[in-house]
Amino acid sequence: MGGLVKAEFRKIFTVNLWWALLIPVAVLSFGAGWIGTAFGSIEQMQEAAGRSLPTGLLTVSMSTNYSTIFAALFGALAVAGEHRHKSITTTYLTGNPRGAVLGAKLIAYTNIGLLYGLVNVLSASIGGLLGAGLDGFGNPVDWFTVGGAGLLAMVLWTLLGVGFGALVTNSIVAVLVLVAYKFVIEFILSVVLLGSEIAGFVAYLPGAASNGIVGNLAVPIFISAVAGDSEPYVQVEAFQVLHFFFGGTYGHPWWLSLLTFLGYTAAFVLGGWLVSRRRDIT
Amino acid sequence: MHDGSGRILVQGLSKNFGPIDAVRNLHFTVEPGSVTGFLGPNGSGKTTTLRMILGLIAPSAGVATINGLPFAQLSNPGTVVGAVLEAQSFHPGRTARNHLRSYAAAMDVPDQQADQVLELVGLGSAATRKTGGFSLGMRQRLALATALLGDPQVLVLDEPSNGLDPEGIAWLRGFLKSFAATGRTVLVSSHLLREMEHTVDHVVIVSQGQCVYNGDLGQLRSAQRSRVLVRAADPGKLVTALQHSGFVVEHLPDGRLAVLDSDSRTVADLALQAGVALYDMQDEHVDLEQLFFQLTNGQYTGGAAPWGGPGPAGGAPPWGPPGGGFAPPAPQQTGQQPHQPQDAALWGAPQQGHRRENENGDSGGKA
Repeated sequence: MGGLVKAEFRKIFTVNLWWALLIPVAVLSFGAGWIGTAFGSIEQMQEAAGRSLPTGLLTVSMSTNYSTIFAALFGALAVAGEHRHKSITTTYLTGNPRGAVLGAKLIAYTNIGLLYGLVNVLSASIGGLLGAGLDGFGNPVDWFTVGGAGLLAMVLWTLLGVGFGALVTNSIVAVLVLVAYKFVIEFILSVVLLGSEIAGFVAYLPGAASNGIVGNLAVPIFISAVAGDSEPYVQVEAFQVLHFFFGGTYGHPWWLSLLTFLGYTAAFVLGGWLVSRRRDIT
Repeated sequence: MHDGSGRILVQGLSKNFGPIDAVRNLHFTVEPGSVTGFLGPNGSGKTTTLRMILGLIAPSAGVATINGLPFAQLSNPGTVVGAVLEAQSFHPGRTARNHLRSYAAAMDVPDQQADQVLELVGLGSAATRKTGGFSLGMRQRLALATALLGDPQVLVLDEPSNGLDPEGIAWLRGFLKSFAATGRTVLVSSHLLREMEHTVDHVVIVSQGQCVYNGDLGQLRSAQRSRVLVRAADPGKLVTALQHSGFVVEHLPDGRLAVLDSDSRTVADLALQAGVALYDMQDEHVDLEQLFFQLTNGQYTGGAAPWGGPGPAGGAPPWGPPGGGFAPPAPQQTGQQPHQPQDAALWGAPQQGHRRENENGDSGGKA
């Protein structure tokens, strides 16, 4: 098994894809961190509140919600890419059983997910530092909490991608479906659902669940930092607006989002494993 | 743990893709120490069979084992069997060396092995080039290098000479022979018997997903008999004379006689001595390629092959060897045509031919 994991790391680092997809993560996260915190209205909010606000936490949440797609695409190409380049034959000829190959990929890609997560959190934080200064991060415990949730979301998206890629094997389909779902399909779904009786289900959609891992931590931390002792009197609308921009759902605990998204990830990984176990490689 | 025998065993292997029977109840054994050719026309099920042996395709029925175990149960399979398959490729952005090192890690073999196999296949100078720029021949060599990376006991190759230049083909032949000479196993497929003629010792010939010959190439070659077809005024008298001189004679449906292992001059001399008038004489030779073609040409004719297989219990054609030869299966049970003895002649020849174990009790009539 150790050999198979080592093989996967070598496959990852001997082609350009891992850094080609990491660049947009770094750029987007940095941009979100910088622009998001330097935004004029936040300054006015700070003046109104009479103290510095941990806006850096919010932008880390936002950058995570967008940059996870790159980790998911990278993960999806773990198996689908091998089908595309027809190297899957050699991979299965040198790794037995197929579940061990998938397991090795999951281990290796967990590490890449962590790398992507670190780059995201650090870039967003550097951007936040430039935009809002050290004051934008609140207390260090909050920063570590939100950053840790960001890492978790990134790793889970990577693994979901691996499972999804193993399930569909067609790399073009895998990439298109992931991107379309993340930016179009779930948006339409949630609009439709919000107008229905099961509006509460929106928070359990994959995208909302993953955004909630960070957003449902960052937004309440932000509110409580802003409102201080008067937090119970903060209007629900304030939460809802912040959640809309920075991810999460009002009143939804972050761990429930985590469990939900963990479920999706497990389902895709399990599905990918079951299907690839029996698939004929022709 | 596998038995280390290096033997490939195929038992009752079948695969259907929807309504299409790609492989039907295939049986054969590949022994170590020799090169076994796996021959058949395109679409005869060779690739599917090889992929089933290698665990890439799940059989609909039957089993294939390497060293006594199905592929899926081999631990570290790359060190047991290496394979060069069609539709097997590399990431175009990865260098040859990095490709090999990735799989060296998967097999737990030292990284130096990657450079050694690159040198072995003549790609040493291309080690740091990306495989996307490789020619077909270079890709084929890299595929072979990958197969050899784990120093396997068994080598399986699917049409390996595709894309190789004549020099490369000659090199590959020599390589496969020397590989087998070390007591290891080589199974190599091709749709051209001529291409394999000088490389293989043993052949498994498939047609329409079924095995039509499994035996020594030398024995198949000895089937290249010549015979004389002759029309005589008094066949009975001529037969007596010929048999008296020790020839094996067969009556053809059109009234002619077929004299085995003879030539027209000898027959003419004998006929003259016997006082029998001859109206027509024809020498007939069957070469190996023709034999191969005849063995496999049932595939696209739609109906049954013109020859009928004798049942497993014998029933050797009249001019067959004493041993009875091998028994070909009847390629199709339905709509069998009347047997034509001149085709049956192709079957009868090998003296010690491996009898293909015919599992079907109803495997057709006798020739």
